[in-house]
Amino acid sequence: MHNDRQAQYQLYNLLSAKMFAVCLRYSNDRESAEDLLQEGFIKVFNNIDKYRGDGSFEGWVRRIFVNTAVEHFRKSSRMLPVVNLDAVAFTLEYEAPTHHLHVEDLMRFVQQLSTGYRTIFNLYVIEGFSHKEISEMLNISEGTSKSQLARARYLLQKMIVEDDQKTKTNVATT
Amino acid sequence: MSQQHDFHLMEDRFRDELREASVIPPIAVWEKIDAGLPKPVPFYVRYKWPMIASALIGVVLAGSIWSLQSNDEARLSAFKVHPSAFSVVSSVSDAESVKQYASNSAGDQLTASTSKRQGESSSDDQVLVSAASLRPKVQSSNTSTSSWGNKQLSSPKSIDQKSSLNNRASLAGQSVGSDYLPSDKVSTISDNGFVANMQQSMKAVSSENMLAEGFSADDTYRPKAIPVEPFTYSDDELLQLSARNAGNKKGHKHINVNSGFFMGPVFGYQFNRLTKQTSSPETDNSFLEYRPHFGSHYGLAFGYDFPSRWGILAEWVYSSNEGQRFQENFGDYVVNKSIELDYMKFPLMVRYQQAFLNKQGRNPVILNLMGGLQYSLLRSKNTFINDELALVDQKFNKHTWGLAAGAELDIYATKQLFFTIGMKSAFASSTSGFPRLKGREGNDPMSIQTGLYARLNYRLVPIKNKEKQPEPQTFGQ
Repeated sequence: MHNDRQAQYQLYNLLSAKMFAVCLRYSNDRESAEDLLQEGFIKVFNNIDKYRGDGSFEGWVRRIFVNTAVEHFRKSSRMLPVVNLDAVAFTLEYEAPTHHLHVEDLMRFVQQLSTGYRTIFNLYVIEGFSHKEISEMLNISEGTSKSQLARARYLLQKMIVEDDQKTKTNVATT
Repeated sequence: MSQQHDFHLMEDRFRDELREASVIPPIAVWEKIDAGLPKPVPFYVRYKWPMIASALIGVVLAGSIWSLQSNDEARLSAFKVHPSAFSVVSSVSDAESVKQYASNSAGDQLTASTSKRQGESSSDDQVLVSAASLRPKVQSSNTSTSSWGNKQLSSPKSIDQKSSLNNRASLAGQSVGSDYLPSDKVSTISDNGFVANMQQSMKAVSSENMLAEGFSADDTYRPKAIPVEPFTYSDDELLQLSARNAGNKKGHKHINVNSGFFMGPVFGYQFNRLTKQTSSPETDNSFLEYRPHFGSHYGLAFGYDFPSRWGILAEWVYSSNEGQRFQENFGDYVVNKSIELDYMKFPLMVRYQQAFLNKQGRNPVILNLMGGLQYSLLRSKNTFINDELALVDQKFNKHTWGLAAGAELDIYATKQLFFTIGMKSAFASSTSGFPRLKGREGNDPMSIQTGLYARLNYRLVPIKNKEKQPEPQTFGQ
């Protein structure tokens, strides 16, 4: 595999779609996602001999892409200050249904989040890391991780509600 | 329904849809990846230096083996000396008989010349026929007969008539006068069977005997011979080596050359590799990149070579610098990590010898193949991060066992003193895992070392070997 371009291309074809979706979740636009995808696959091919066989290969590759995204975040972003959870009012007028939402919609909502909220939401909700692990990865406190997640949840819920209201308005006018 | 419950439902929805989502990337992304990957390097470029080094070592070894083996034949030929080459005749008539003898012999051409020693009267006219003048022409084939060639004497002296009669008898081949040339084995000079007979029955001819038989001080017909240096291998021992290499394994199975106890300091340089990246189970260093690690080792070696081809070698390597270097790339931030381990090692190996004759001189070159066990004791451990000592508590095996194998060349300066250069590879594993390559968890750390070393040896020549050295033989007495 090392330096075997044909084998590398085959591997790229097998995993590029899923990994591009991962990159889109961590990026706010397609260009950034493409850069992340390129960097991630280069890391995969350069370190492919380090795969020990423990766990699935796709999971190992996914971990590389997540780490690459986290590195980008550590280098370029600054975290929002810790917010007292009690002082934040996360209330919405009504429940926001999600069953009608497609993957593209959900992806769009996640991309609309700011970098910090988006990264923590992805790590906690999608990847399944704990707040302790997230705090170590991003070099932040657990309180910051929790508050940012709460904020991300609220914002997503708000987007869903607004999107739902917009859909109903469009339906009413047609 | 609580808001938290709503969040959980929402999160479940996001997780279920986005975790396994797929979005096909643009084609241009692969082209960028292809441009960013290192170009495939042909193996002959990637392994350029190891291939060059291997080729050079192979050429040197092959050339040495070829030249030494081809020289064995010349060495054997050097000792196929016809007894008449040493003979001295004391009268002109004898000289004529020599000529007659020579002309009657088939094959080789002999020339006999006579000359008078200065200051001698005609009645005591002595005609000295030197070995050089009686020397047949050396032919290039293996069936060539004797070549005087390699004996060099100091000032020769003449003998009286009485002694010369014995020599004349030996010339005729009826009575040898010495006890190592049975008459039934003496044949014509050009007889090929003679050559084989000589190989079987000939013993060392000492230069002193040739002196005793009387050679003129006149340089024109004084034969030349190489000086027998002290503490070098005698002719008999060299012949034993040549015969052994020529295939007489049974006849010369037990050879007393290159045997005995030896010892000396050793110094080497090796390439090291730790096969496990993590120094502790809790640390995940799967993204570390290997970097080559080199270290040196030094100590003392002790060995004993038996008269057969076998021997043992034990070493006390006081310090062996091993470890591993890693690098982790965070984009514009690179972390270099170095694990430095110092081991005391105790290899114990078996040696198998193959001796060759040095073309340049009389001392052999021994090729040894070795293999055996090795025990290592950890003396110190340090971890450096970006060249700074890191105060981390990392676990490394204090006691390791392993195997070692290699090849070395012993180059003899004298019988006691020889220099060794060699190459050795070894691996070590934790004592809990040995002899398994992997432990119960399947992930026991192992270390591998491959490198070169040099050793200066001093051999204690046993007394009994000296007693067995051939005594000087005399002709015609």
